[in-house]
Amino acid sequence: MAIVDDHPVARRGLESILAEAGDIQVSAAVATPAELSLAGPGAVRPDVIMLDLYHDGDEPCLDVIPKLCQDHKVLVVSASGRPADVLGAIRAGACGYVTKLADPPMLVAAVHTVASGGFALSSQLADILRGELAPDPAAAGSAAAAAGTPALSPREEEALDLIARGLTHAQAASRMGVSRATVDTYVERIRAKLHVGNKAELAWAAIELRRPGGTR
Amino acid sequence: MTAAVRWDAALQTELTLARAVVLFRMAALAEIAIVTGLNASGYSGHTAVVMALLAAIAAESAVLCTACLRARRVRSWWSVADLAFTIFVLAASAMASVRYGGLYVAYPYSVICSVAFGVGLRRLSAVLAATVFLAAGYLYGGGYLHADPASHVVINAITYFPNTVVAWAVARQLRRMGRELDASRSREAMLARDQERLRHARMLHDRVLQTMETLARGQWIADTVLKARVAEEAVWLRGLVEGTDEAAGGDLLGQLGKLAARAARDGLHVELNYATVRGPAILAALDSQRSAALAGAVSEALTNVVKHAATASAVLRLTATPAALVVTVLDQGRGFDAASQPEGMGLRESIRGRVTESGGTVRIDTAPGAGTYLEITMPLASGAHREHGRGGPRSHHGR
Repeated sequence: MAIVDDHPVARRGLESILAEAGDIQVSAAVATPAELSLAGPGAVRPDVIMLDLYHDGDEPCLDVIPKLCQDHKVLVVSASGRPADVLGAIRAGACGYVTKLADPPMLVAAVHTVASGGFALSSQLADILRGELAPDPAAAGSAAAAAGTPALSPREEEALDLIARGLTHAQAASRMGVSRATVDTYVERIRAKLHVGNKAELAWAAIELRRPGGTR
Repeated sequence: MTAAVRWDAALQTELTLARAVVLFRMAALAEIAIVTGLNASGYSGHTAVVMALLAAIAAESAVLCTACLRARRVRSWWSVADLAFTIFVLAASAMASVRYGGLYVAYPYSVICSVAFGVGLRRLSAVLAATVFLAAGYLYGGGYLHADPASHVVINAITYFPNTVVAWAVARQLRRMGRELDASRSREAMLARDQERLRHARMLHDRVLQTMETLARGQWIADTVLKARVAEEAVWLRGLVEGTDEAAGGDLLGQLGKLAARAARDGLHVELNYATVRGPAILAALDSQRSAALAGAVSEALTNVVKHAATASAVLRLTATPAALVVTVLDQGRGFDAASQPEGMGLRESIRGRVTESGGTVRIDTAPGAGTYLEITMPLASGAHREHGRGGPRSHHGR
């Protein structure tokens, strides 16, 4: 995998956590997405790119996500993101979001989930999605509603709610009285509802969510 | 408030108006001096009396002009005093002119001076009243004492009105523009301060905080006390740059942030999830007693996690239903057997007692090896809690 983070100390920290996990190989740790492509044809092609949401200031780097997603799976990290930016990253195609402050095992688990094609729904991400996709249009979710995200079903909302409280998928499943696989299905459906169909729409969504007036 | 201290367009306007009053008075004095000088031959030897009147006018003008320039404004009561003096001049000049010959010089003088009343008096009614008095003074002096033709006197008396009213309107407009300019400058200054604060926050966030947070988690710092300290400071700094400290009505958020910082010092990383209650409106609906009860309960819950759960992380989530705030504390630690193990003092008193006293409910889910889930539901308003308390054992007393 590759790490893209403009902060050298944070990059080092992530690298050492992932290296300690043993079964993850960090092939590149760079400051900007552009440096990734400089690696040359002989370089190892990373399966997962861990991408810091904010490089060099206040603007989230949403525009590079659709491009990176063509060839890689993108896991967004950030110390803490504005909810609208995080939602924008997921809509642009990212396969998950974790904060840099997450427990090392959680960080490693997120990388594994993304590498195997899953959706790394951390409790923070669940909380943010729950806030941004609120059914009440007066609440924070108006931006998402306006951008045409299909509404979540009550069960999907419930699953999101439990995961936001820190429950694992298995714990959420037992609380909801369903199987673990059913919760996984809910999570996949949430992801599917967030992702939009084609690349043009992806790019449009990224730009739309980046507009200062359009996001909050 | 700050506008008056820091920005001075309003003060500048007052000074400009005061200077205008002084200049008009200078013009009036010049006018009276020229006319009197040209008619010096008409006074038939009574120059001393005329000179005394002129000296009185000059002295009064000197006092008024000095006051205006020193105070950098025209005060309303000065205008009232000046009005009385001007009426006196209108009468005295008429008497002098009738008795000793020479022109009635007071009228053109008073017409020029009248502009000052429009500037000095703030209310239109006061300006109109002053003008009526002035006109009456002229009617008495020019019409009665000096016995000028009635048609002249009436037209001359009316002339005062456009002078004072136009002066009043212009002064009012200038003052309003001054105030608006001050307000807008003060807004700009506040905006600039906010932007500066944000810029600093971002720099702290992007540089210092990231370093501190990494150091607080890795193996780079061998001294555990120092490492805990760094972790605590990092949480504090995060609260500062993210502004949870001062979120409006978000006193509770600030307190939860502090509790998270304290837990970090004790080696427990707490994820604080509150994206669904980011707007201040929901938290503002919570009264201070309930807010304090929640914070106290959360504090105790985190202490329990630190002491008993044997885990390095916990998730603290704050969310809301239409009528209640729901706070959950979850750890994936050791858990305990709720059936065989009686609730400890902390859980019974500090959490359940505190919360139920404020009308809330507490629910605990735990089992050995399965972590601990604590859910506190606190109604936003009295009486609303019944339908939302999902009730642990011995849940709530009604209120």
